[in-house]
Amino acid sequence: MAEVINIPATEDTPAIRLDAGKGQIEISGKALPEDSLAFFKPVYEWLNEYYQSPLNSTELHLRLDYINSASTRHLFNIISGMQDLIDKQMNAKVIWHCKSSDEMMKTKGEELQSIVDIPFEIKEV
Amino acid sequence: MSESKSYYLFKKLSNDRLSLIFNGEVNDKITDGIIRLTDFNVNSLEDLSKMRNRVNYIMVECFQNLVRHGKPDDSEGLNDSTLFSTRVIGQANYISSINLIDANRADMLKEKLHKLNTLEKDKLKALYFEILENKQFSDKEGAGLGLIEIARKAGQPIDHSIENINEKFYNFYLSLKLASREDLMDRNHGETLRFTRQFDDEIKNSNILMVYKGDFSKESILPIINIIQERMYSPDESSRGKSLYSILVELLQNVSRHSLDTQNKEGLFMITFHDNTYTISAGNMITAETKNILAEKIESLNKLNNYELKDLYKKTLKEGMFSEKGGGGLGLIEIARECSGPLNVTFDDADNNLTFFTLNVTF
Repeated sequence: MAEVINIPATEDTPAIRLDAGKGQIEISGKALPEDSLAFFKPVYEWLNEYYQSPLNSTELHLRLDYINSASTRHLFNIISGMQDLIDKQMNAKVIWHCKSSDEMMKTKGEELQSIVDIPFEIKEV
Repeated sequence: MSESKSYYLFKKLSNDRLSLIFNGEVNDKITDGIIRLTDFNVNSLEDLSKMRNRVNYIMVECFQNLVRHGKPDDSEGLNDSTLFSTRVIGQANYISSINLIDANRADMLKEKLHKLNTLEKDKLKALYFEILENKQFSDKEGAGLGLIEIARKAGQPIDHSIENINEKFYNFYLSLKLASREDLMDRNHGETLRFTRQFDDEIKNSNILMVYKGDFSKESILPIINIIQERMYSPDESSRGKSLYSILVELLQNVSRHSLDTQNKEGLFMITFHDNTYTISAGNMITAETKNILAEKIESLNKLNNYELKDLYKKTLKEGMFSEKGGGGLGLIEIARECSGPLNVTFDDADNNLTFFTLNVTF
């Protein structure tokens, strides 16, 4: 499987880094792809592979400036999918990074936090 | 029910393959956005893509002309907005502008244009180099190089009109039609301006700041968002700016997602300014079936307060299935949460059992 995948940011899609060796998933920037399913497909595929033999500890770092509604759904799916790891007695955690001045992204983080059962930390900078 | 403004414009521009009319002050970022938007649209119309470089070049010169001569320092309360319009109709691309100028420049400009319009191609070129070499000209005057360039690239006399408003000010109308050589031969002087000013004057005298009719795929949506952000003063960072950004993204992507023709995602977008309030509208054709679903959805959303909307948002995110179109109704909830009042929508019945649906958001 692809151990590391780096997808560079564009004007309407975030940078994504998937690192199986570190058990880290990072999504940063603006997420408003026109076709959100096509955009997130490689992430789903990588996760499917990764979950076959995951590390003991997996972290999802989110540093988003903006996310549209369609992408929020995919983010929810990705976060919910981490339940698999918890069921296997492994560690999984979401870290939501946002500027304390960014009300919209802070609220987005809190709302996602409130509807998932995965450890979810909001880090304001 | 009377017809909505957006549908009225959509019908009025029904022959247009692209319409972009901007009514306000232009700056470099707005210029960039407008050029990007036009460039993408013209380039994607196969039969017109050859024209692309010429269109871009002339637009840049026109903008520079507007920015340089944009408006007098003090317009004394007159409508001093600058109008810029680019429209593709059939095989022709129309580029036109209207701007206010000081009366003391009117005669000079008239004279200059009159002279340019009588010159043949090689004479224009000679004049261009002559002025380039003779560097004694003022900044504001720009030596007329821009106009010479426009005349050279357009390969036609520049249709124009310089009209007295009062003793201090004039309106400067400029209009070009880029089309085939045959079309140029058949054309009468003044015909292009007569055509473009019908619509341009109507927009200029209305509270409309921008109208766009064309493609709504991401290549168009992104520059539109940039133009609006610039126009509406809101920096990305402020929470109001972010709200606006979110409304724009969801509104525009909504058109793109629900347009009937997936190849050609056509719709109309406009902004009006009235009583210190901006209204952003996006409209497109939908089927009778979609109309019923939407009407019901919007009616139920409009009954909810902010807390209930938040709960619905979370519930939809958690349980909702993706709709066929991949949106899942979250977009509308998102818009309802970001805008201050209830969602304001209009449904205009059109032919073939279709309806023109417009979502209006005040901001």
